Amino acid sequence: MLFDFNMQTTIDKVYDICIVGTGPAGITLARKLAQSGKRIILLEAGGLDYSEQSQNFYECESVGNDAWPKFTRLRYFGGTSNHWSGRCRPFDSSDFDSQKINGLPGWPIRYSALEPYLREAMEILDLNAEQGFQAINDDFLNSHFNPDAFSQSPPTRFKAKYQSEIEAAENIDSFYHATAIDLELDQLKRSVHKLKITNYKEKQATVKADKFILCLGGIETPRFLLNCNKQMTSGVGNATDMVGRCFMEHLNVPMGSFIYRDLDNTADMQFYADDEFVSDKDIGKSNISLGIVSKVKSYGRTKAVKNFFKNIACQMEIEDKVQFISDFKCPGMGNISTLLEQSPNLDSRVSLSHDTDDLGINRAKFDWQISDYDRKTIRETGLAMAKEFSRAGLGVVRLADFMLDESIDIQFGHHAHHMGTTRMSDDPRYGVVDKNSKVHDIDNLYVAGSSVFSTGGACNPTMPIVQLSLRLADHLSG
Amino acid sequence: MPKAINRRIFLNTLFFATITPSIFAKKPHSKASSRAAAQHRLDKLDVIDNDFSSVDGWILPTKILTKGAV
Repeated sequence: MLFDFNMQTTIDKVYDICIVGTGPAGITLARKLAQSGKRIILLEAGGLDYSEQSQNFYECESVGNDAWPKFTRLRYFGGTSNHWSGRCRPFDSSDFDSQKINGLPGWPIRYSALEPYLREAMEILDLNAEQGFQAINDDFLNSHFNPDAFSQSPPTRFKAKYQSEIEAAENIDSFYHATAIDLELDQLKRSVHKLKITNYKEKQATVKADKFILCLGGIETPRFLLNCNKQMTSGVGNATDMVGRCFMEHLNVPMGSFIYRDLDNTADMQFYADDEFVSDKDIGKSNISLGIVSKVKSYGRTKAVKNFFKNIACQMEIEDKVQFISDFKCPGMGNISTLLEQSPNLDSRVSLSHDTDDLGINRAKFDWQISDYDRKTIRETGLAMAKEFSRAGLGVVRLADFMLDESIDIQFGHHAHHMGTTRMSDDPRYGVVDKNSKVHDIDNLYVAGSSVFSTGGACNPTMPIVQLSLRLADHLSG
Repeated sequence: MPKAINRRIFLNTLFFATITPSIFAKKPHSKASSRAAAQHRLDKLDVIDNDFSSVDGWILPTKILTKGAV
């Protein structure tokens, strides 16, 4: 059943499980747990469609590197699946090798814990399981960089695909316009007794359930836990000051440009560094994309004119100056972009701002920082790739000045992947949730989504989010 | 009725208005400026390892750079 909390007066049932958030994690959990017979309440803070009023709650105080935290997420039914791009790649088994990085341990589970859920996750994300994961290029660089295989979701919009199923499910009560604002713990502060919710008009209610799962994403989940500070002054689950720490993104570095030896080659390529290279160099994982953008649309009577100007620009070596015109490149030239693993580091964090939102709740203070380990990942990977590209006879690479000169700050962007802020670790000193995604020291509070990632690998997070959610559903329905 | 500015018109206007005059204004390179350009590139030459060097950011096999040298 689906309800508008603005129209509903009371919520008086006691549920087996309360799920907060309707993105891929929340909806996957709700469907799976409902199938096992659990009585579910599923809460969405926003409405059924995008609204500025709702989206404004995602405004952050950004003090570090900017990753557009207001715009990279969506606060309505279906969450950020309403605008994700659909690229899917599972974690590697080596992503779960448990070596310490920046003094922090890796995952407390092995990939074998996720692998059983791969096929079901592929079905949920409308991927062709028979086709599997495929690379767009056959070329191998001589060593260490293999073609990167992935699968493309349509992309699946969870609202479009699952709203009617949730509406029809008798054991799911889903409320939208219902913002979670506080957790009330029992006297011993060992379990969650109630969850307090509100709409935009100061109407409040409490939700009772045996178990609670937060699926609010890598920024809102820590923000919510830190704001639950009436009974525990540092916030719920934050006894070791780990909530919000270790914010990780995937680093999109404009490493430089390249030119194919074969000027007629217009193929895009994606490479993935192999485990031996990553291990030998002691750096993070990497996907490197080489994209040709020489496909200037020249046809008809304008073709000769466009080619004339294009050739002039290339001969004058001013093509860089006219890049703002889309698709403008000289024959055979392209740009290099990346999806690089960022290592967990304590200084990269989400904490609370003094600013408050329209409900009077502290906004997130967003401080995204990379470490020297990440800088090493960027430079070692780029240089090695450039050399292998040349050795393979594909052409030559021109690296950006910051790739070769360590005195220059590295330029990097993000991929709208928010990870690590309630990271998984069996040791509460290094994480917020245990290997079953349960918050340390709180018996009935769980977290799902990419905020539990201990490390981020170099894969898009939606598929692992769905795999981990299916695993958690299995754990809770047992 | 004003004519809509499409991509083709924008491109043509841009090139005619900005790039073409600079072509006419461009003078042949003098020997001095060629030497300066070459010196600039040499300043940006770094040996990376036994096999590769960077020249103005281009990662090139060193054997290409030394080809023909005695």
